[in-house]
Amino acid sequence: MNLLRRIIVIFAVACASRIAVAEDAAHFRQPVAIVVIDDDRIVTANQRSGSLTLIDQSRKDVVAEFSVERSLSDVVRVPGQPLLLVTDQANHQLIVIQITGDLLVPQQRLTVSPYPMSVRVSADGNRAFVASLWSRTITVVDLKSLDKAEQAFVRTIPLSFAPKEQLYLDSAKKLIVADAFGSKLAVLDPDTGIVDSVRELPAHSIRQLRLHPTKPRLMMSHQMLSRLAHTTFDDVHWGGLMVNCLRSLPLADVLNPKADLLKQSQLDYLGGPEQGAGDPAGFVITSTGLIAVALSGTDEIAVDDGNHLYAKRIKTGSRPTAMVLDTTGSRAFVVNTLSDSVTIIDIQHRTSLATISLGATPDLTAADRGERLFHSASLSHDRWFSCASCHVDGHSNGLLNDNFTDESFGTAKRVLSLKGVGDTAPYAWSGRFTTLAEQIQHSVKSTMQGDELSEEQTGDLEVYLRTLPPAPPTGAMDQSASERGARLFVRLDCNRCHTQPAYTSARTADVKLKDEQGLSKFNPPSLRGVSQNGPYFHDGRAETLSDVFSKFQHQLESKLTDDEVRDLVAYLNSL
Amino acid sequence: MRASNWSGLAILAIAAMATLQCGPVLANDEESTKPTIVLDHELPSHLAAVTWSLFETIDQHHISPPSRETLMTAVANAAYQGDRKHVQVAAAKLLACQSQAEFISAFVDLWQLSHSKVRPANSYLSLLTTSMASRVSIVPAAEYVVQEQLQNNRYVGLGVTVGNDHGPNISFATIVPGGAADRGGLVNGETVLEVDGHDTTNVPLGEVISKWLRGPKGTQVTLKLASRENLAAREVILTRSVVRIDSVRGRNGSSVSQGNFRDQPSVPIGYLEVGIKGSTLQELRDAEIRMRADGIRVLILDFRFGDSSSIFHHARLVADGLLDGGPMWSWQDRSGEWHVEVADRECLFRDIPLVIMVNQHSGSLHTAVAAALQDAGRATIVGVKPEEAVVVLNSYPFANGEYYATLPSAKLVRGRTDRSWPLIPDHPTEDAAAAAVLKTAADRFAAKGVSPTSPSVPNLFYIRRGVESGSSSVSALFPANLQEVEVLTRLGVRSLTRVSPSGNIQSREVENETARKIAMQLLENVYKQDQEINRSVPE
Repeated sequence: MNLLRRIIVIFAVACASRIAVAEDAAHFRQPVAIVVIDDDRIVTANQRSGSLTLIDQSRKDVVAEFSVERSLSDVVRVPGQPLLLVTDQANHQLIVIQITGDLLVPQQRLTVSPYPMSVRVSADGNRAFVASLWSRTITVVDLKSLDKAEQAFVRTIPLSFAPKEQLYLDSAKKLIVADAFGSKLAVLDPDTGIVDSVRELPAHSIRQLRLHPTKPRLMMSHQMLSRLAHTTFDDVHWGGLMVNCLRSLPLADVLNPKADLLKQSQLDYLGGPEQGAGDPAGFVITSTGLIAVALSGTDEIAVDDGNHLYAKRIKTGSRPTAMVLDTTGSRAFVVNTLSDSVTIIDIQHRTSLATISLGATPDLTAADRGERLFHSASLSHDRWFSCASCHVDGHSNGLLNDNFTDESFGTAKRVLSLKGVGDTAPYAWSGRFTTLAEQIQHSVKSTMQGDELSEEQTGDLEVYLRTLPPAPPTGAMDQSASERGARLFVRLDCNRCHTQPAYTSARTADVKLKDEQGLSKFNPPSLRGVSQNGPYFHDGRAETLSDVFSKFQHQLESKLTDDEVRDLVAYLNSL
Repeated sequence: MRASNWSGLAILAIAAMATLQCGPVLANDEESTKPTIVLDHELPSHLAAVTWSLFETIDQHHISPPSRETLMTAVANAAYQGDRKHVQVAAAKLLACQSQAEFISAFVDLWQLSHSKVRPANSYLSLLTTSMASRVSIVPAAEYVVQEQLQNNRYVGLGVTVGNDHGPNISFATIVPGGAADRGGLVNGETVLEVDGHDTTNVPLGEVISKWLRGPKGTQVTLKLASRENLAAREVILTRSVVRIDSVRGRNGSSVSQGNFRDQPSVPIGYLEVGIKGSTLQELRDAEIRMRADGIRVLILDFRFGDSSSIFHHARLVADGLLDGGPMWSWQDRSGEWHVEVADRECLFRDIPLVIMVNQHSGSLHTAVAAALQDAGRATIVGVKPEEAVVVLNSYPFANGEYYATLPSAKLVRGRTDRSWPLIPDHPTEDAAAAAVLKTAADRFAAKGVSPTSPSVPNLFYIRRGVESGSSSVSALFPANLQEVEVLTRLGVRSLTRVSPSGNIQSREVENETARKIAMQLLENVYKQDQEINRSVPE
C-alpha cells in the first residue's frame, strides 16, 4: 500500500478519537458483506473482527481497517450521500458511518431489535429496513430523523419466521424478505406495516435476492432438499437428494398475494453429478443477463455461459459468500469469508483477476479448522452440499431429511438444530449416538456419503460445534404468562424428559407418535431456543408450539385450557 | 435403440448365467459378495436351507404371501421338474414338516428320489419361483450387485453387450458410446477370441461374462479380437470403468445431447423415451434445459416399455420430479399401515403440457408414474391400457446373503381415491389399432386374390380380451375369415393384434399418431394462453 497515504490515514485517525483503526496484528476478520463506494474503493463488513475494511481495488490494496464493534453482519451505501449503514449483530445496533476521504467514521448508533443481520435502503435514501434474525422482526428506520432518536423508528414489523436476506422494491414500495434458514418468502408494506403475504417455496438457505436488470423477475439463490429421496450414494450422486439452484420468479406474482408463486418459476441447476455446486450464495447479474454465483461450499464462482449452463468455475478463496458488481458492471468482487480476502473476477471472460488479502491472520485453532470443515462441501460426495446446507449457520433448515440415522429409509425426520449441541447428548432423534464424535462421523459418512473423517477432523468439528451457543429465544413473551407457564411445566412433569439446565435428558420416551416404521420412542430434543425450532416433532407435524399441546396433547393426560396453552407457550418462548 | 434395450441386453447376459452349473459365483465389485462353494453331495441340503430361508423371507415381507400349500407344491414341482405324477405326494410330505430340520430332511429324500443326476441350483430356483406364481424372483448375490449398478446407472464394465450368435466365440453385439470398449476403438460385432489369455471357443456365454469379463472398477482385461474387414486380429487392453447408459432419449433412440426432439422441425412438440433408473431425474433435468432452449412447448413422453430392472424408489423420484405437489399415491405395507406420498412443488417441464404414451408393454413402474400424473391432471395418457397389475417390489437378501429375492412388498393405491387399477388411458388407441389392422388384412387378402377360407392361408389374428378376469390374456386363433372377425369386434372384443411383428408396429404407429394429434391440440391451447397473457401484460 502507498506508504504516504497510510501515514496520512493513521495520523488522521490518531487525531480523531472516535475512529479506531484495527491493529495490524494478525487477527481473523471474516468479511460477510461488501459494498462499492466508487470506481476505486470497496468496503467489507467483517463479522469476526467487528471492523470495516476499506480497499482500493484499483491498487489491489487495503487502505485501512476500522474497528466498529462488535460483529458486523451487513453494510450498504446510502444513495446520494457519503454514508454507509452497518448492522452489528452482537451489540444489536444499526450504525451510521460517514465516509470522509479515506476515513470511515461512525456517526450514530441506534439500538434495534436483537440480532440485526441485514439492512437495505430506499433509492431516495430516506428509509432503511433492518432484518433482525432471532427476534424475527423488520425495523423500518427514517433516515431523515436520525438525530431525533425516537422518531427515527417508524415501526417494527413482526414475522412468523427468522428473516435474513431482503430486497426493497422502490417502484412498488414493498419489502421482500427471505427466511434465514428455511422456505418462507414474505412481502410486506413497510409504510403500513402490513404483511401482504408469507408463502413457501420448495427451497431453503435462500442466500441472495436480486432483481433481474432487464426483466421483471426476482432472482434468488437457494438449495432444495428432497423429502422423498434417501441419503444413499445414488440419490446423492444423481442430485436426487439435494440440488443447488438459481430461481427466477415473475415480480408480478411475487407482489400479488393471491398468485401462485411457482406457476411461472424458472429454475437453473448449478452443478451436477461429479461436479457439485454446494451452497450457492451471493450472485451478480450483468446488464446483458450473465450471472456469476458464488459457491460457498466449493470455494468457486460458477458463471453462466448464456444458456443456463454453469459449467465454468473460477477458483476463489475459502467460503466465498457476498458478491457485488463493480461500477463498470463487467467485473465483480466477492468476499472470501474464511480466508479474509476479496477476489476480483472478470465475468465476461470468466476469469479471476486478483485476490486482495484483508490482512494477516493467525494460525488456525481446532475450532477454526472445524468451522472450515463444517462449511465445506468437500465433506459430501462430489461436493453437493456441506454440513451447513441442512444445518444452516449451525441451526436447521426446518425441513425433513430421510437419512439412515434412524436405521431405516422411508422415515424422513426433521433436521435437528446444532445450536447448543455440546450439552445435549445423546444425539439423533432416537438418541442412538452417545458421543458427538460418533454422530459427526456417522453424519459425514452415511448422510453426506462422504469419505470417512480422520480423528483430527472429527475432533476439530466437535470443538467447533461445541462453540455454538443455543439459539436465543424469539423474545416474544408476556412475563406473567411465562411465570405461570414455568409452574405448569413442572406441574405437568415436562421436566422429567426435558430436564434443566439443557431441557433434555439421556432417556428415550414413547411420545405415541410413530414414524413410518413404527418408531415412537425418541430422545427428547433440548428445549433451549425451542421457539426457533418449528415445525415440531420428528416429522414436523406440529406447525407451532401451541399445536404441540392443543392439537397433539403432547404427553398430556387431559386437555389444557387455552389459557394454560398460552402460558406454557409463553414460557417455552422464553427459553 | 430404445432405453430399455441396453439394460435388456445386459439382463440377457445375466439371464444366460442361469445356465451355469452351480459353482463359484464371482463378485465383480469392491464390496464383493463372498462366493459360495457348494460341493455336489451337499447340494440338496444346501438347496433345502436356501428354500427354507426364502420362505421365511416371503413370510416376512410379501404383501400377500402364498399359502403353505402353494409353497410346498412349488418345491415339489421344481424338484420333479413338473412331473405331475409325483408332485402331489411330494408336496403333502413337505407340508407335513413342522420344523426346518424336518423340511431339510424331507427335501433331501425328495431330491434323491426325483433325480438321477445333479441339477443346477439355478434351474431349480427359477422353476420354484415360477411355480409359486407370486411375482417372486431370485438372483444370486453377485448378479444382484450388477442389477443394482444398472438400476443406478453405474454399471461397471467394458460398455458392451455380449452375445454368441456368430459362432463358437462370443461377440460384442453393441458397443456402448463412451464406455471402455468404445474408447478402445472397438466396433459393433467384434468377435472375441481370448479374454486374459483364456480361449473363449465353445465356452458358455455366462461363464465368459462372470468369470473373465467382469471385474472391479479400475482393473484391466486383455482381449484378443478376431480379424475383420480391413483389420488383422489384434489385442487390446481395456480398463473396466463406470458405463453410463442413458435412460432418457430423444427421437429414434438418440442421445439427449444431440437435441433431436422434434418430429417435425417447425412444430415445437418434443419427444422423449423415458426409462426409470437412478439417473432418470437428472437426465430429465438436462433434457428440460435443452428442450426449453429448443423452444419446445408440448412434450410427448414415451413409456411404452418394460422396467424389469427398475426399482420403485426411482419411480418415486421421477413422479415427484414431474408433479407440481399433490398426492402421488399411497402404499400399504405388511403391517397394514398406509403411507401417503406427496410430491413437492418443484416440477420439471412446468407449464409444458405432457402427453404420455403407454401400452401393453409398459411396466408396472411406468404405469404407476403415468397414473400419478394422470390423477394430478398433469398429463394426458394415450395408448393401450397397460395390463401390468401395479405392485411395489422390493429386494431382500436371504440364505445368508447368498441370494436376493425380489417380491411384492406393498400394495399401491392411486393418488385419486376414486380411481384404481388398471390405468385407463384418456385416449385409448385399441379400437383405432383394431380398425387399422382389419383394414390392412382386408387389403392384403384382396391383393393376394386368395380366398380367406383356403387352408394354405395362415391364421392371422389372435384376439386379446379385457383384463377383468385377472389373467393377462386369453388368446384364441381365429380362422382368417374377416367377416367373423368383424362380428367379434362388434361383440366387444377389445383389441386385435396381428401375431407378426409388423402388426405390433402398426399398433405403435396408431399410438404415435394419436399422441401427436393430442399434442397438437394441447399446442393450440398453449398458443391461445400465450395470446391471453400478451393481451393482459401491463405496459
